[in-house]
Parts: sequence; structure tokens; C-alpha cells
Amino acid sequence: MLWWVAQIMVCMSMLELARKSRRTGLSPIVLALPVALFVLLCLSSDTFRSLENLANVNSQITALMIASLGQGIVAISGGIDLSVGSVMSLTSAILVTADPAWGIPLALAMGVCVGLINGFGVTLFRVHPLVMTLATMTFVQGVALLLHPVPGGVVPGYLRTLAVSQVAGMPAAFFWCTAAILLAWFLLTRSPLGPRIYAVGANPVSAGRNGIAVMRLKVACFVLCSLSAVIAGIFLTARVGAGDATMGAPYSLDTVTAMALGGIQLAGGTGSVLGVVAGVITLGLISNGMNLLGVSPFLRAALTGVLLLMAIGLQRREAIGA
Amino acid sequence: MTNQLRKSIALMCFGLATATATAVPAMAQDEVQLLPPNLIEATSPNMTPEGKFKKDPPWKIGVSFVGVGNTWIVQMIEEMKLEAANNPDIGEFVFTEANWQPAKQVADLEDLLAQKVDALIVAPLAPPLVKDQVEKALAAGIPVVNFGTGGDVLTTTVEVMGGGVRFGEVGGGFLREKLGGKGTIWAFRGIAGVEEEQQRYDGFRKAIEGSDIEIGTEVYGDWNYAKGKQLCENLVLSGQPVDGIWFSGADMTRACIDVFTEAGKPLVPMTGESNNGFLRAWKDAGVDGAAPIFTPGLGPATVRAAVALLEGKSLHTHYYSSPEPITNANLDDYYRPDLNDAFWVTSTLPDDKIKEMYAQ
Repeated sequence: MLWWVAQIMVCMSMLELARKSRRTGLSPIVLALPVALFVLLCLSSDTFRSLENLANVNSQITALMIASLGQGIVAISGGIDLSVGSVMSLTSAILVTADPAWGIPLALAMGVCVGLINGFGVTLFRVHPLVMTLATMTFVQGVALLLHPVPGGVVPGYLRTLAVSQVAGMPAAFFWCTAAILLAWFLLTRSPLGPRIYAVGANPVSAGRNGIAVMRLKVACFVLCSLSAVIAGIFLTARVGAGDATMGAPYSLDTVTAMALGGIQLAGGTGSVLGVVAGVITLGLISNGMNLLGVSPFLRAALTGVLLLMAIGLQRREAIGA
Repeated sequence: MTNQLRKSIALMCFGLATATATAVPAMAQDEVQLLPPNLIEATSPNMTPEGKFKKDPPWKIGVSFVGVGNTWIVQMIEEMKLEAANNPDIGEFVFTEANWQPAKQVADLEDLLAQKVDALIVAPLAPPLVKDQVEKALAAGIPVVNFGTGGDVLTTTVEVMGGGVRFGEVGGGFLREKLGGKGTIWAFRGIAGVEEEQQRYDGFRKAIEGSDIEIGTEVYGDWNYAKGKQLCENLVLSGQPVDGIWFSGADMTRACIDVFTEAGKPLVPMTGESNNGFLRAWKDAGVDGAAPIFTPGLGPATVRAAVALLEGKSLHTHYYSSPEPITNANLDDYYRPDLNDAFWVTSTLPDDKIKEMYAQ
């Protein structure tokens, strides 16, 4: 329960910001959906309310949370990054094949490279972000499979400790989540970079005329997104306890779904950390809830689709900076 | 099919059976039978302790499966559910599927353990990926039935599986024999990164090792008809030489037979799997083929294993299904012209249920 109280406190502190600006993309439905799902599951399943299950949900959404926050930054700047899943997969492959001392630096360097390639492709060569990141997604996934074709390998012990241990009764995942949320929140609302990212996403021409280095900023957003995917990949690999070259595959679209649920528009210029948090928690609760309620595997995908359509359909879209 | 080929397949099956028989002492009459003896064998003399997992019914049995997405899995799930529904001692049967995602499978297992299941059946995407959760279940005294092969990585209470290396070996051995040990083979693999797929491929490579057979092209068809057809069209149009095609199973062979037929290209020997659609295409096209049987009955076999453990019965720790493969000689024994292409042989479903589900 402490986790939820802490999580709600983090959200509440950002709610203040949400009220201030329509650029956050937050609507009542974005915030009401995870709360409604939480209440519904509390009423319908005793298991859901157990501490063990709540800690499980926290661990289950952490990788998605970290990757989605990065995706959110790119989306606010007016882009989209489909390569996050492949970057997570390659991170997993690197961690179990490289020397333990070099695993993390190599993965981070890989993340920077992928981010730079995506960023320069989109800005310098004017390739559409969807096409550019689709290409890197395919390439990076191929490299991951070449490097580590069969799941397995040994994850460095210190990483396992960092991902699955408990501190003061709280799962380590809670601290990963909180750190990622606070970092993203600081970047978007308290650092000089934040308003520039919103400005570039809303209207890059106007932002450029006002002295913002649009290209440099967009490249930085892609690099930040890839780095967040690397961190998500590190957490996921440590949590699972083995490397897998396809581990991140579903995250490319899941991060986009979480953003859509969180009110972030792909047109750029709108979005908030709170929205991403709400979107990720909604997805996590849907998945956990379906398991606990024993929903048929054949119904699950359809039901998830309907829930997403309803949630997204109820959100009003606004043009910012046009 | 030549007598020599028939002989070689028979010898291969005999060899496997002999190897198994020498490893396991003769079965007692009262031993738990997970499937008919021609479909499954105990492959370890080690037994689970009697009464260790005995629990009063009703039981809650949880299943963590890799994902849905092909007709074999649909049929296997139906067979599992029917087996559970027919057992009054099973109070709740919770089935989860991971959508082929490692992180989802870990989450599913966590959710099942949080629901306090009495027995756990897990079909791992790859053994290392579920090791932690399986160890947690075992530490909590929950018997775990592995619907897969754990190797040295994953220790469970009982292991029930088919396919794997032997699946690939049957197809590879058939092609080696058929091509006289030389020629070019295309290899159609399943989904990249899946352990079962890698094992099948390893078995195939093992079977052609030391011959003059070379793998001309290797593609991932995702065990899927549409993708298999597209890839086969590309390869046929490219004009690359081919003397035989090895498939990692499922519905890719039927796709390639269709492509060869549509293109008017002479059929080459192909391997497949025990799917009625492939058997139909095989019979209609008259291709030289061999199909290992990977029975959907393995699903209910895992349920029977979980039930036996909860009843306090002793089981062998390892069971393996490697029935005699389907060849041109015995194709008619397996092909069901009255059923549609989605049916897989052999099945534990009653015939009226089969006809209800798979009528033409």
C-alpha cells in the first residue's frame, strides 16, 4: 500500500503543473482510468489487494515506465521512436555476452549511437521519424539476434541485486520507477531544456526563429529516448535473470500505447510525465487484472483493444502551436 | 517412398525407442499413464516421491503458456481445458499466455503464484527466463510441471515434452536419405529466439552433419502460412537451386507446396508436421514427405501429471513424446478428409468434439 501512497503523492505533486497548462494533454479520463481500474480490481479480486500482487505490478510496469518516459520526451518534441524495443533487446544481449565490467558502458554507448543515428536521420536527412526508427529497429533487432541467438546467459550479480532486492520493505522496482519519473519531471518542467522541447514539438519553425537550436534539441531527445530504453533493458534483463535478444520487442508499441493513454499527442507539443505515468499504470493494471480475473487468452487482445479505443476515443485532441 | 527410406525411418524410431527403453526400467502396471504408450514414454528412471505433493481437492491449477497464434496451440488449449473440466477435483483452472514475450511470461508466473495455485504448469519461452519464478514455486512446495525441456538450466518436478532436437532430426534424416547425402536444402525456421525452434534446428543440423548437403538459404517463416508463402515465393522467383526443404514445423510446408504448384515448379522432398492441412496438401500434391508428430495431447498430459502429483502419486521426472513419424507409407492412417485444415493429429478430444470443432 505504501507504494501506491508514494506513487499517488508523486502524481499529486505534478497535478499542480497539469492544471497550469493545456500543453500537458491531461484530461479527466487520463487520470480517472487507472483509478477506476484500481478500484474495480480491488472490489473484484482479493488477490489484487495483496501486498505481493501490488509489488508484482510495480515490478511488471517498471521497464515500460522507464522506456515510455523516454518515448514521451521524443513525442513531445514532435517525433516517435519505434526502435526502443530493439534497443532494449540489444541491451539484454550485450549484458550477458560482454565482460561484466563493460556490459553497462557498452550498452549505454550503443544507446547513444542509436539515438544519434535516429536524430540525425530525422533532422539532417529529413527522414520521417516513423520510417527512420523503423529502419533502426530492424537493424538493431538483427544485431541482437546475431549477438545472442538463444535466450540465456548470466546477468551480473550486482544488477540482479539492484533490480530484485527490497529496501525498507519496498521493492527495488519502486526506486527505479521513482528515479525515472523524477528525472523526466525535472527535465521537462524544471530544466531550461523542457520549455524548448515543448516549443520545438509545437512549432519547430517558430521555435527556430526564436533562437532554439531545433536540430540539436531533436537529436538530444532521440539520444535521451535511446538511453532510457537502455536503462529499461538493463532493469528488464536483471529482473528476468537472463538475456534474450527479443526481450524488448513488444515495448516499441507498448510505449506508444502508454503515451496515447496518457494524453500525449503524436503531433508534438503536448504531453506530461503524469500522463505517461497514468498510461503505464493503466496498461499494467489491465494486464494484471486480466490474469487475476481469468480472462480467456483469446478474448484478452480484443478486450485490451476495446479498452484502449474507449480510453483514447474519449480524449479530445487539441492542436498546439499551429 | 523407397523401401530403403522406410527402413531408415523405422530404424531411427527403433533406435530412439531402444535408447529410451534402456534408460528406463520396465514400467509397473499401476504407473500413471499420461498418454497412450505409443505417444509418450518415460525417459528417466528417477521418480517423484510418493505423497510429497498430496493435497485435498478441490485444486487450483495454473498454466503459464508461451502465447497463442496458431491452430496447434488453439487445439492444445481446448484439449487442456476439456481435461480440466472433466476432472471434478479441479476447482479452478487458470490459463495465462505470454504473447511470446519473456517479460509477460515472468509477470504471468508472478500473478499465478500470487493467486496461490496448488500446482503450476509452465511452458517456458526459454528455460532461463522463468528460472526464478519456478524456483520460488518449488520453494513454496508447489509442484511444477514443465511443458518443455529444461536441460541443465531449469529443474522442475516433472518434465513433459515432445518435438525439440528429435523433431528436427527426423526431418533432417529424411532429407539426407532422400537426397543421397548431397544437394542443396532450404531451411524454413520458426520464430527467431524461441528455444523450441532452436532445438529443432539443432536436430536438423545434427542429422545432416558430415554429409555433402549444404543449406542454400535459411529464413524465418514464423511457423506461419502467410509468411511462409511469401518467403517461398521470393525464393522460387529468385531461381536459387533447391533439392529439398526442411521446415521447422507448423503451417509453412503447406504454403510452400502451394507456391511450387502455382509456379508449376516440380516438387522437391519436404518435411512437415502432423497438421491435417499439410496432410491434405501432401496427399493432393503427391510430394515426398515426412512429418514428425508433435501431439496437442501433450497439453492434457501436463494436466494429468499435475493431478497425479496432487493426488500424491509418484511420477517419472521426465517424459518425452516422439511417436513414429508420418511418411508416404502411413499417410492414409493419419489424414482425415472429413476434417478441415486446422486439425492436428493425434488428439485426445472425443470424436464428436473433433467433428464439432473441425468439420469441413
